[in-house]
Parts: sequence; C-alpha cells; structure tokens
Amino acid sequence: MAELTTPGVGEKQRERLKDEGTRQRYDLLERAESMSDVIALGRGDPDLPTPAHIIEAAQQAIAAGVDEVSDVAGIAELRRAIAEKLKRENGVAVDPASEVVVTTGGQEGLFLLVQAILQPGDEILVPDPRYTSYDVAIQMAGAKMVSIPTHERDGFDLDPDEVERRITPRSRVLLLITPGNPSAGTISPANIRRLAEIARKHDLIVISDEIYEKLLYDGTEHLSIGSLPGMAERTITLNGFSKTYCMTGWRVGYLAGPAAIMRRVRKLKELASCCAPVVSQWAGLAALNGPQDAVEEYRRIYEGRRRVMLDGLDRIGFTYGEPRGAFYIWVNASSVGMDSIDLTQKLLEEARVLIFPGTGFGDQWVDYMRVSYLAPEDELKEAMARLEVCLALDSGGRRDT
Amino acid sequence: MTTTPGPTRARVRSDRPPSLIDLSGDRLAFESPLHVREAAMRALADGATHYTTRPGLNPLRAAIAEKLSAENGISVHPEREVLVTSGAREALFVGLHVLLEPNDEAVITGPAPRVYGEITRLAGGTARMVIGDPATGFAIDPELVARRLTRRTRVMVIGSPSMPAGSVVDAESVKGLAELAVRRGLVVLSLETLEPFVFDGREHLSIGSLPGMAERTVTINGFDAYGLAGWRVGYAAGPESILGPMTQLKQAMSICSSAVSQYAALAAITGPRTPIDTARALVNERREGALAALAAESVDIARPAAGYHLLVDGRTAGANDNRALKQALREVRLRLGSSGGAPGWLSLGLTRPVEDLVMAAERLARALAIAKGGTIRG
Repeated sequence: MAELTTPGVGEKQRERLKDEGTRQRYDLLERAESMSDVIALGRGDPDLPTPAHIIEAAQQAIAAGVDEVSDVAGIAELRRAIAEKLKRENGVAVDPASEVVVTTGGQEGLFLLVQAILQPGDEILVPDPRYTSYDVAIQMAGAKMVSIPTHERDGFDLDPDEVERRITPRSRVLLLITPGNPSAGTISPANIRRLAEIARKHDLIVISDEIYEKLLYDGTEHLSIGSLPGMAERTITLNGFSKTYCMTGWRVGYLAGPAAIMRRVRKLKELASCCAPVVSQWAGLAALNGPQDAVEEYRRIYEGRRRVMLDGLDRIGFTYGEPRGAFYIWVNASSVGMDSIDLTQKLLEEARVLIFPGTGFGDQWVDYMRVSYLAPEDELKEAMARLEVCLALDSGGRRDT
Repeated sequence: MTTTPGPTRARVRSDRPPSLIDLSGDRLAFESPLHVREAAMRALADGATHYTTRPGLNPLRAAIAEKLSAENGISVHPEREVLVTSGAREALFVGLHVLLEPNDEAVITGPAPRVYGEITRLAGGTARMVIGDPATGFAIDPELVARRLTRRTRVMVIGSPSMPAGSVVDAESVKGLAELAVRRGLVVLSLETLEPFVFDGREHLSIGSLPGMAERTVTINGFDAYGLAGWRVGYAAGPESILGPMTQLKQAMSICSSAVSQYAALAAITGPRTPIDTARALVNERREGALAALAAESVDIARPAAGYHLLVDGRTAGANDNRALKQALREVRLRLGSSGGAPGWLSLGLTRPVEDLVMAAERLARALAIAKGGTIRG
C-alpha cells in the first residue's frame, strides 16, 4: 500500500489473524492469572507430570548434547518409532524417511499442513464446535472454512450425511478431530468408514487429528481413518505427545501421510522453525519406546475425575453430549439463561472457577461452555460445589421448585 | 542395564585426511554450556513440562529486554514488545507473514540465506534482493536499496552481520537505511543473530536503536551463539503494533516455545558471557587460519568482516555458473552462492577445525585452477 506512511500490520492481515475464540479464551485466562484461589478448568494443559522415565531420558540427552539442530523432519530414530507406533497401534503404514515429519507440537503440524495443501479459495470441512486456533491457519492459506454441525443428542459424533451435503467443487480437505476438542465427542468407527467412502468418492484429503486418541472412556473405540483401504494416499494423521504423555510444554508432535504432501510439509517446516526442539524429540522417543503404564494410569485418573464432574453437572441440572474422550466436557448451560461469556465471567469472578465460554469455540455456542478436568478430584469437587452455590444463589432456588 | 537411546557425540577424529571436507553447512555447532544444561535439567525436575505464557516466560522476556537495552540501545517493554519464538527462523517467518499482504514486496539485503526469499514468497510477497558490491565485501549501500523500492515495498529485511558474505552494515549506512525506512514508511526486520562475531575492528549497530526506528523495527535474535541452536529458541522485539499481531500468529502456529528450551535460554542470557567469548574465540581462530591459508593459496575471496562464512570467488570458472567449479570440488563441499543471490560465488562455512580448513584451501586452489583452466565444462 503506497499510501501507508506509518508502519504496521495491514487490515487484510489483521483480518486473517482474527480468531475471536482464542481471544475470548485467553482474555479469561489472563484475568484468572491475576486472581487468587481460582480453580482452573480452562486450558487443555494436563496437571499431571510428564512420566519420570521420559524426564530422565531427556536429562540424559541434555547431558549427551542436544545443542545441534536435527534434520528438519526430525531425528531418524524418532521418525522410525513414530512409523512403528502408527503401524502397531493404528494400522497406518508410513515410510519413516519420506512420510513422517516431526513438528513443534501438533498445532504447528496443522498449520504447516494447511499451508501445504490448501490454495486460496479451497474449502476445508471442519466439524463444529471447533478448536478456533486452527482458524488462523486456514485464513492464512486464504482457504474457506465450511462448518459441519454436530449435535448434543449424538454425543457430537460427526454425521457423514451432514458432511456430504456440504461438499462443493471447491471442497478439498476434510478435517476430523476424534476425540474432539471442545466437544469430547468421538466419531464412531461406523461413521469413520462412511466418511472414508465420502472422501474417496469426492477425492478429498483427510486430516485426521488424533491427539486425544488414548483418552477414551466407557469402552469407546478409536479407528484411524488412515488405516482404511484407499485412505493411505489421502490421509495425513496428526498426533503428538502433549495429551497422551502430559508433554504440552515440550512442543513436539508429528504428521504422517503421503510422501508428495509430506515433501511440501518438510519444506515449510524448514521455513517455519527448522526442526522441533531436539531435547523434546528425544523425550518423544522415550515416550514412544518406553513403558506405557503411565498412559493407562493417567486415563484412569481422568476417568475418575470425569465421573466427579458428570455427577456435579447432573446435580446442577446441566446437560452435555456424552463425553467419550479427551479431558473436556462440553456443557450445555442454557438452563441458566446467560450468554456463555457473561456466564463464564460470572463463574470466574464469583465462584473463582475458570471455565472457557462456548463462544470460544465458535460464535453460535452461546449456551455452552468447555470444562476441562485437569485438576485433582478434591479440587474438582470443590469447583462443582462453588458452581452449585453460585448458580443457586443466582436463581434464588428456582431449580428446587 | 539397558542404555537409553540418546544423542551420541561423534567427535572421533581419524588420522587419515577426510576424503570429503563438507563446508556447505549453515551452522557452526557450539556446545551448550554446562550451566545451561544443568539449568535445563533442573527445570525439568521442577516440572517445566507445561505450556508457558504464550509470548514466553516472563523472566526470559525481561532478560531479553534488558540485553537489548544494555547492548543494543533498544528500549522495549518486556511484556508487550518481546516475543519468544521457536528459534530466530520462526520470528522471521511470523514477522514476514504478519507484515506482507499478497503482492507486497520485501527488499532484502544480500547475499542472504535462500530461506529469506522463500519465506517472503510463501507469505505471498515478492522478494527483491539487493546485493552489495563484491569489491567492498558485499557492503550494503543504501543508495542501491533505495533504487529497488517500489510502491509495493512494505518491509526491509536486513541481516547484519550477514550470511554468507559476512558483511556488516557500517554506522553511516545503517543511518542511511533508517532514513530510507522512515521516508518510505517501511518496517525493518533486523536479523542480528551473528552479532557476537564481528571482527577487523568493525562494530555492529542495531538499526532499531536509531531515532524514529523504534516504531518500525523488529529486532530478531536468538541463542545459537550460546550453543543453543538445537533447543530452538529465539525472539522478536519491537513495537506493540507489530508484536501484538506477531504474537497472535505465533500462538496459532505453535502456542508457545518449548518450556525447557526457554529455561535453557534464560540460564544462557542471565549467565556468564564466557560461552559467547569462547564461541567468538573459536570462530576467530578458524577465520584467521582459513584467511591465511586461502591467501597463501591465492584463492580469491570477498574478505568477510563477520560471521563464520565467507564467499569464494568462482566467477571466472565459467559464465557465472559455478556448477562446473562445484564438480571440480569433489573433495570440498561448498554451497553455491546463487541460492543466496551471489551467482558465481561459493559459500564456505568455517564449520570444521583449522587443519581441515587449511586442507580445504589447498584443494580449493587446485580445483579453481582446473575450473578456470577450462578443463571442466558446465
């Protein structure tokens, strides 16, 4: 812009960076940080520690030296371990050398992937509610997000018909996140199979975000779409270590998919940040190759907490879609009759409980809020008690009648 | 007892001369200092395994602001104007993506690493490289830069000290570039990662410290000189009007930078300067050794004032295409300068010990003689 004399960021870019959901979430988070005695049920950052053997492996790696950058796609040992894991646990076959890229967290993986495969004007089908941080990746690519509604009555499973109905000649990518954030819903194996059919029929690329795959409850099953016939060539599986091994701060995740796409991702990874932190890569290797006891141990802990939360929510009279996975509950708070921002602000100020508003995950979710259960059970009980008191006072005992 | 898989240090040197001396790399690997490693291990033991605040750990940002103030004369607010990134590369990536709209142009002082142009194009922009005069060591002349500006130019990317030419923009030219930026309403992305490696009595001047530049300069630096390249931590510092949107994009890309890496960086920047001095001494030793050997072998180079790369003149090896020369260099691997905007030149990194550099100079002289003698055709 020639008329621009003061430096700064142009309107077009500001528009592309717009992410109202993330802004809402972080505004609340920052407010909570300035307060005391807050029980935080907000950010998806596990309170549990990274398992000790992983910490030890990282410390040993530091002692041996992690000072030099690795291959931009990641250290060979880790890429091999990822390929083995995908084969063993997910039935997804990839070549470690050409089809795996280690990223600086799953989020970077999604960002790079979207830049790699979407052209301006292309459409990406995204289940709603959604993790809005992905919006910026889509907007930066100049692509168009097409929302696929999901519903509480279905436990926020993704209905393949709803997907197919929205396919246009510009549809290029289908984004699946199962278990989902914020909905905690899962896509049933039957629906995954139908979605695969749709992807093949309409020649869609599928991004399958499986970062919460290990956090499943009530016997829920996880099926990786990349393992289905004809899907290897069109599926990129996104995963990482943050949620399974409580490793959010390490910033390490990965993408695995067809070589032609991964070549482009690899190039973008070099431009974006060279390689993932090398110490974190060695930690990731220890996570994959070491004992897996902690994964199930943590899942059981979450299962217990989930029970506490669901009991509490039931007592208050809130409804929710069946949370089959992750460590969230997508709560329908319409009974309170307040906009989700006002409600979560009130809960923070008056009950000192931090919960993210529904509109932090899509504009229309004014009746919902996302509760994470990443705190010890006694704190969760306390949080639910505070909520009960706060909302009972507010309704003047209306619910008792 | 099973051994945990981990990095191994291949530092074993054989007595035989290496068949291939690879000097094509970008980076000189310095070891992370012991106190930095210890701090990182402690941080892990203390549970630094969670997300940090998005723009980076508060004490780290405070230390960065302090460093910029004390060493560079740049004044920034630690909480609103400093962003910790996954290496300086991410800072550049985020900066260019935030500032460039499709069809905008970035003027880049060069020769420069090819990725600068690639990131610019990925952001939808056009990269206009301005190459200094080889006779002056590729020194950047503001006049040359001015001539490459168009109506669409939004950003000036300055790497000083530069890579691979090792030029340093002198104080007068920094002022000239600053005036140009003010006059034309440009934002400057100033890459200063090679700041500790300035030689020949030259001095590094941060463009962000000049009058009128605080509002339009994003200073980008990192911790590679401390031996932290593999930890992936760097930073951007500048006006809130730009750093705010950069922080948004960084969050969308990678939430925050690695927590343990940030603790390592904190230990480095608040610790003794010894690691930097040691790195500088190492570079200096290699540089002196390489310069002497290249002079003794009469290999033409553009004498670098800084950094740990230099450009070898291969222009006479055949019609500005030094592929022929590269073929002749079967025993020394260099990078073609054309990828960074210096066709005909070859980038030589001081990435090996002096004895290898001396041997490389001998092989180089031989290869150049063959290439220039025309026995190799490109």
